[in-house]
Amino acid sequence: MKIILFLSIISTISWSADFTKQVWSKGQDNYVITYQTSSNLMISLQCLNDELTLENSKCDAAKILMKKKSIKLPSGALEGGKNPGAVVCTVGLNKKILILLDLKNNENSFCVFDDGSMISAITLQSLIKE
Amino acid sequence: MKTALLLLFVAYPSAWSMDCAGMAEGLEVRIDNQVNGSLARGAIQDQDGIGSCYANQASLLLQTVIPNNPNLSYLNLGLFYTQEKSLASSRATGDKFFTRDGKTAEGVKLQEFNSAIHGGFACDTINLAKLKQKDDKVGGICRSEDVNLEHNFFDDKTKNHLDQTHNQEKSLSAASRYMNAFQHKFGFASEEGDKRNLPDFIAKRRQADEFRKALTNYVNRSSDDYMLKNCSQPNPEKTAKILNNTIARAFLANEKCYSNKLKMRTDTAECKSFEKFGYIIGRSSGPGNPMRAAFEVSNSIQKKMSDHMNELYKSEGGFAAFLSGLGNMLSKLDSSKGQPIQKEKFINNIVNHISPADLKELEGEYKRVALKEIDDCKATKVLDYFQDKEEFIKNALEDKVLCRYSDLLQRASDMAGVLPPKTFNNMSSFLDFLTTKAGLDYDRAMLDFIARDCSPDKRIKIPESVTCDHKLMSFKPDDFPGADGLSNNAKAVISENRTKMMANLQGNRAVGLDICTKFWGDTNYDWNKDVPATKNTTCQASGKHGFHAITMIGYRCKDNRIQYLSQNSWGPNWKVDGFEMDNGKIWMDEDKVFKNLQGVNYIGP
Repeated sequence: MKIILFLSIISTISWSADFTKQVWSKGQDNYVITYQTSSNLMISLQCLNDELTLENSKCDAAKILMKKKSIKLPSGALEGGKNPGAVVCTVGLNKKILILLDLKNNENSFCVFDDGSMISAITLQSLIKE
Repeated sequence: MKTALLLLFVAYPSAWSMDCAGMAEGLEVRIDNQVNGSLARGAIQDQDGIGSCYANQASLLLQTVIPNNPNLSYLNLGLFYTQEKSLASSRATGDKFFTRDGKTAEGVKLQEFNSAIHGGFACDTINLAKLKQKDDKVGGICRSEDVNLEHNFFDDKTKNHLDQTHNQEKSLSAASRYMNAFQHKFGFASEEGDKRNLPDFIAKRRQADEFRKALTNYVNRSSDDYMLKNCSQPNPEKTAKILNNTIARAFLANEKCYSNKLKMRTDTAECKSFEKFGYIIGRSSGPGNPMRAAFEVSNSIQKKMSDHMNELYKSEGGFAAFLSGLGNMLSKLDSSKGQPIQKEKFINNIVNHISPADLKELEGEYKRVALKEIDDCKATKVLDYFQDKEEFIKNALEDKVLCRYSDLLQRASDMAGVLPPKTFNNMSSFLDFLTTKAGLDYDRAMLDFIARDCSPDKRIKIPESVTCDHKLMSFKPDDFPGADGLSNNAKAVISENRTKMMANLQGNRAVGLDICTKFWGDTNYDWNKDVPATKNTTCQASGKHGFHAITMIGYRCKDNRIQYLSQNSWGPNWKVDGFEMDNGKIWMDEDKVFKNLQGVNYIGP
């Protein structure tokens, strides 16, 4: 199931351009995130190319999805109902999590990469190697 | 699995060499990053300028053996030690003061020494804490989170402490200096016990009571005016930030108004209205930080908003009316040429984008400024009031009693100037320290001062079964003759301790190291190889690095060398050139550790 979901994300982000912009905030810092309805993918605005797709994107958040790298987590790393994508981000990729609120005060964890690009952490769940 | 590893190491250490011997390359044991590691939730501490390294080590050692592995307060442990050990000897000679303000043998007056927590030893501290917890009034050790001075420097995001500005040291030292001055005047005036009937004690206590009444009356008289004056003024910067953020959220939510490269678009009437207010920018606070998108309100609009806001705050018609007035104000500032209905839609859109947090802030501002509801503000101004020399000291000295205590008032004001803002949020608790608690024993007074949320019932008890065994390294001068050569004595000492250290770490217990850290700055330096007669001096004389307590939390075999991971208490950003660092922790080769090791603290069972 997870593999199918992962492939679905990869194929969709390559071909589709149905991205809309969303505002996510922490305190008085605002971040614009693009949301692709077909894949439920949330990723930094800067990851889109001029054709409004992620094709050949140079941002780290997009590249990690394109690489299809699978990540093995230490046993017990997901104990306690942790967000598996957030564990992939912090333990598997050694990146930081930023928790943001949308305009309706919904909370979401984003994984922040070295170049400053972000992706919704839950998306990274698909990288977990069973 | 653990049993097998243990057997491997028990079997192997009879042979000494600087390589990994029987350990598999790449094997790593850590108690800080495994799911069930006893220090998985252990914070990196920052003792900053306080001489509390032994207490930092003691807190980590205890954390690894106490059920549920609580973060314990190193300040609490340091205060216990300072009270019972460091100050005990000076008290025996009649010196009751807490910072070192004595005279040299030549009679030269020394300036007060700035460390309010004196150096010490981890096992002594742990054993002392076990003794003290038997007193019901003590009850145990405070959790770090209940010691506000310590917790003020805790970052919830990184779960570590970071006090780069040395505010812990400044706060404790300022409080100690106040206690010095107080006890110069009044002795231990608040102390209970058999001294109560001594004539001198009675006289001192009478003076202390006189001071307490005078200061309390004066503060009660004058602070209300101060609070009203300082708490009911509008804060234009705060309001401007809220309005900026609201307009930014409304703008960013309208994706037609900007491109994917964050360039402003003015294709529609609504976007044109935004253009009249300001411009969009994207910025990052540095590498690795995501780009924030901000809408910057232009300076001219900013100025006009500020003027209008001052008028709005004069309205006493309630917060809903205030918000409505806010919409009207924005409408007036919208100089676009759109239809009235479009303008109204635009303004409503902005007002609807105020965030819940900003709305709460704004309501707080409205209540404070327009309705003069200032209780919350007063809680944040306690220290401001005391550090305002004009308001506090100058006027207080006109009081016929307080004028005799100008040095105390000065020190109280100095202390208020360095304390973190949240240390005291009500006037009476600060007054209580200034007039009463300062006459108690050092640790009781200081714990009351810095740990207002740490009642005895919330404190953590050390289980009776916990032991701490300090083992001095018994190396001899000729134990390290050559580059890799070792005497039989050195081999035996190292083998024995290596086995014990690794067994402790495999058992999820940290190990305390008392070590000369001069080799961090001078890689050729080996303390145990140094000339015995002078080595203690050379270590201390190294300036930045001297004897220090750190905590061993892991080991590994890397490049065929045993390395130990130790956690320091100098914050998460601490770095030493030439060593592999990991978030305030350092990997050190085994030979360097033993050549510079003075003693080891083994926590048990």
